[in-house]
Amino acid sequence: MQLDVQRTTDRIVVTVVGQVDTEGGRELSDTIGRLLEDPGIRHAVFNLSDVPAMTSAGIGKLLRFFKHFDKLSGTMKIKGISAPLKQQFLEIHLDQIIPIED
Amino acid sequence: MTAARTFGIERPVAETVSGALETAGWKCAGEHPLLGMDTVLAGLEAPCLVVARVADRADLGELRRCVHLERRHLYTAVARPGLDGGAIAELSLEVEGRLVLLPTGEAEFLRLFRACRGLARSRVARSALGRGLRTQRLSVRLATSDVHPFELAGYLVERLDEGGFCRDEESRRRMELAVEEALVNAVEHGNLELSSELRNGPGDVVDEYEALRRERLAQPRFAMRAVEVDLEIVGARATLSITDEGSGIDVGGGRPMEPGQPAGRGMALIRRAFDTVEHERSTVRLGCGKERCDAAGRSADH
Repeated sequence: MQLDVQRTTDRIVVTVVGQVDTEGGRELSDTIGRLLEDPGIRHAVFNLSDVPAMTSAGIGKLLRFFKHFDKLSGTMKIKGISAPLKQQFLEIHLDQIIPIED
Repeated sequence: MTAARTFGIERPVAETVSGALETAGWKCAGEHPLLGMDTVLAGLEAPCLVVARVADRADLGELRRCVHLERRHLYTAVARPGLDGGAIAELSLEVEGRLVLLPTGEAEFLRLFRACRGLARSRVARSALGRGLRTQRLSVRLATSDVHPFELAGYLVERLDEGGFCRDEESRRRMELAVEEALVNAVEHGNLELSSELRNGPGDVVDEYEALRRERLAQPRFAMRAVEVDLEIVGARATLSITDEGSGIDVGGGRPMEPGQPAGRGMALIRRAFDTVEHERSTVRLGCGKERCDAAGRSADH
């Protein structure tokens, strides 16, 4: 798994490439978690176009991030998602919590 | 696998590559004038040998995307001289060696394409072996600290795929994810006795769960607990059993999940990949069946 994070003022854009397995979920948590210690970051966009699948640990991390931004009255969305990952998210109703744009 | 497709390779290299492919026994087709490599590969019914040019980071990114999403193909890359070969080598490691960097020169192309031809033939032979497989039993016992869920899941599903239990790439991907989830459950909730409720707490983004997990992995009384994996294939039925030495994982007992709850989706991912999922104390059994046809094309489901 590879992670690229771009920051502008109060926003981060996170591009993930590759399957998010258990270790990948931890890396996601560590990297993004460190950034979110800065209360100045209030919005996030995740690009998951090149992520074929994600474990429940990775999904749990996304949800924790979402709760974090929600508490700050910020926003978080997924902009760009691969077809198999979108199918996975729809089946577990994640689209009802985190906004997803193709 | 008999077809090869080239992407982005310009003359005169294209002629050399095509010639070497044909000599090595491949039927070579060029790229579509309008469609990208990922679209072309996704639309192919049968797997093929991919020969792609990598001239810059954008090409590398496109190739990485394809190698991750379309795993059934064999991948080779022709790098522009001066491009950081280390970047392609890193990509090759990242995708577990499924990408080969082509050397320059006609003789080298020919040697490598013949090797790819041999690899494709062995894949076809293994596929035939899988269709004819009647019984197989695999049993593994590992200490918790030696369980690497992603890699072990890949190995186990490879056995299922060889036996013909993965309908397609999507089915295989779901099974890998599901088996990884089941192994993580055995390790973290079973042997390390970590409650997923810790992840659902009001804590900060970096939660207490990971800290406790690392702490318990460092303690021999937890780390030395074993995980046993049994894969049994009998006829058209496969059963994967995973047993831990914990006191029995709480799989939710049918409690409804809160919509925004971070933890607890693992079982849903497991159930979407396998026909049957059964729990008995510290053991989870994942079952799947398939329709298999013998050489005459008759159903051999028994």
